[in-house]
Amino acid sequence: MKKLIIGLLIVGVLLIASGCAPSYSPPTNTPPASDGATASSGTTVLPNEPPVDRTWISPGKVMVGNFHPGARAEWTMSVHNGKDTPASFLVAYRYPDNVGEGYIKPAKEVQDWVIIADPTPVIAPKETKDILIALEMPKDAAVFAPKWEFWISVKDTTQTGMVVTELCSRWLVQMR
Amino acid sequence: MRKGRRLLSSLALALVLVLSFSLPAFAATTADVTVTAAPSYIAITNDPSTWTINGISGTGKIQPNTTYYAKGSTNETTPPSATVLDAECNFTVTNSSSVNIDLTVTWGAFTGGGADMTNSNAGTNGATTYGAYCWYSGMTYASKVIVKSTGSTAMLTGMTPATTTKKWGVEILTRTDAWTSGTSSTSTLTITATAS
Repeated sequence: MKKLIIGLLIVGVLLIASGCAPSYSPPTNTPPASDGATASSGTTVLPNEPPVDRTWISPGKVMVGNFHPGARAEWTMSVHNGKDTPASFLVAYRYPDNVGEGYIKPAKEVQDWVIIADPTPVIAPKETKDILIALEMPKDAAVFAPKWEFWISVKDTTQTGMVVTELCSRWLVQMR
Repeated sequence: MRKGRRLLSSLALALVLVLSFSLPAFAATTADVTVTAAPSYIAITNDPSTWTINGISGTGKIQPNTTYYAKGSTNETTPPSATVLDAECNFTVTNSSSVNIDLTVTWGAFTGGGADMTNSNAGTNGATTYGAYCWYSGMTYASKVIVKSTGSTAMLTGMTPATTTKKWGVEILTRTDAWTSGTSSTSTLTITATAS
């Protein structure tokens, strides 16, 4: 009887401890499986050949689901230099000008959660570079909204003149 | 023995309670983070990359407290037509994207000269601030969009891949105060493409 009581006590303590501990689920990249258009590595495979003589980025939109404090989400962004000369780019976190319906603009600290593997790539003419983008929310960060959005901005810094173009990939985050 | 049984049933009850609280936490941890992206690419170019306001260059000066419209002509002090025409737009965006896109225009501060001014972000001017709007060919001019330094509303949404070019323009209402010198100030006007 005594042993049974002690056993039950131990199980109870363990359950309480596990229930109080911050929950954590390992990060995964889950590409859409239905159309088979996205590789399992988290890199987008484009449906048709993009123009080689235009500067472009891919993908245009990244959807993150079941996100939570302590979690990490990754996707590889492709940046293509369509020029005949090498070009330097600035890849940066971007506070969005506007957001999708149901989403809100991010809290100030989100910029610290975004890791860009190569923020200033120099890309050869007509070449494409893959850059890993990671969103890592600290375990102790507060969930400020159930759905929020931020942008990853890509600018060709060799552009001259007062009017410049900017290409942005939208990251739409839905919390668990 | 009876005392032990009572203790045991109390513990079992406590265990059931603990389980009922802890199970949702277990369920939550089983939902993995998902990251998905539809195959797409975004590509735009813009031409020209400059705007010589009202055709003024060299020693000529634009005036304070005056609205100039980027129409690509030498008379840029009158607004475009009620429905904006191609010929009334200084800029052309070329779209090569594979998906629908939104275009947003932002405009920073003028610095480094005698015409320094910041964007009021309200479309109106002030002593040291300017107001700005943007519009595109085919739109109702009255629906023009305020150009802010950050946080502008999209000028054009849902531009399809089939729309390979779109002409557009901006207007600026210069600051009310006189220029402090004859040297020119510079600024950056950015047109941003995002997936719709």
